[in-house]
Amino acid sequence: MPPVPVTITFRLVPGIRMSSGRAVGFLEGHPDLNAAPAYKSFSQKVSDSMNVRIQRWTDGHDGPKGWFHGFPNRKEFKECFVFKYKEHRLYGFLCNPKKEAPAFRLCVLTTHDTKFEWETDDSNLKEVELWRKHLVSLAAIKYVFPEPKKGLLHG
Amino acid sequence: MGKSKHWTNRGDDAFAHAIASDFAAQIETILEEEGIERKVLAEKMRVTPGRVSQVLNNPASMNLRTVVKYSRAVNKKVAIVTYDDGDKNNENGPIDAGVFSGAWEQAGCPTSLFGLAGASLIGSYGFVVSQGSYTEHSLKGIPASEETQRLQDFPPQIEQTLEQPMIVFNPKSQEKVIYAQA
Repeated sequence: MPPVPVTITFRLVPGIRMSSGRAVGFLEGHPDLNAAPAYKSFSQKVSDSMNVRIQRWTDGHDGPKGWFHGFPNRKEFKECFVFKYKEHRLYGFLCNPKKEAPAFRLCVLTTHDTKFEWETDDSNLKEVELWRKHLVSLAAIKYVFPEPKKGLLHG
Repeated sequence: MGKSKHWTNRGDDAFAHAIASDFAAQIETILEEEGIERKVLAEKMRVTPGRVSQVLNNPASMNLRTVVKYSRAVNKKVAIVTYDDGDKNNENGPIDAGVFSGAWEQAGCPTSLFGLAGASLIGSYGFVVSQGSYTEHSLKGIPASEETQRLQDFPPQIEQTLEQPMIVFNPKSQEKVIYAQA
């Protein structure tokens, strides 16, 4: 991944209802961050089907695995996540951006790919991991989910 | 930054796509959890595996009979629920079916409204309804059935402060309402 001279931003997926436990958004602003541009270019049917999957996970479901799943058995990729519809894959990583609600899970989508094989291509997950660990990603997420001010934690 | 409307706000087709997909997800989850292959499901339904994939990938094409057929093929039943979540313009999208089935399971899987421990509504008379807080069994007062006999009109005109919760059965809406002190 080249140096990052551009502005990296994070935004929640538009049109998806965030729940008290989960949310999904895109990291954008670098040519390698192709999840958001791909999502925008989806046909209506693909877009709707992805939305259904994203909303389902956001609402608290952990399956079906054919729709989305993490990689808990892959130690190096255990924070990675993928949404699937037909050949389309939206890869991202999970994090806990709310200090006041540690159980809240955010899925940060970074990478789109198309695949026709059963096995996940590790290069996608490695790419996701690079972004997960990058300071600009953390800063972009923190901009949308700022740390609560002292004294406001419990309203 | 304004709040964006839910993607199903686009129209009825989008809403139908969402709830049909919700149903397809339930079927796919059952298949995964019970280790049933799509071809086995297809055999049971006397259709081709390709047809099963086609329907589950494009669930908006299902009609009601197909929904029932798929449910029965995985030994489940299906209900159609209308509800009012206060979102009359559908700015927030449909409620996940799992919320309804989860609530039903939490209530002990009742087979009729009589099996519900608590019930809905109120907002008038200065009383509130405690959802699930009281059961007929735990009430020391008059059984709900006797109240039903006694009450000619619904809702009842409650003017005094209730000493204890009172269950009233609305024969018209088949709804059981608990009146309790606010």
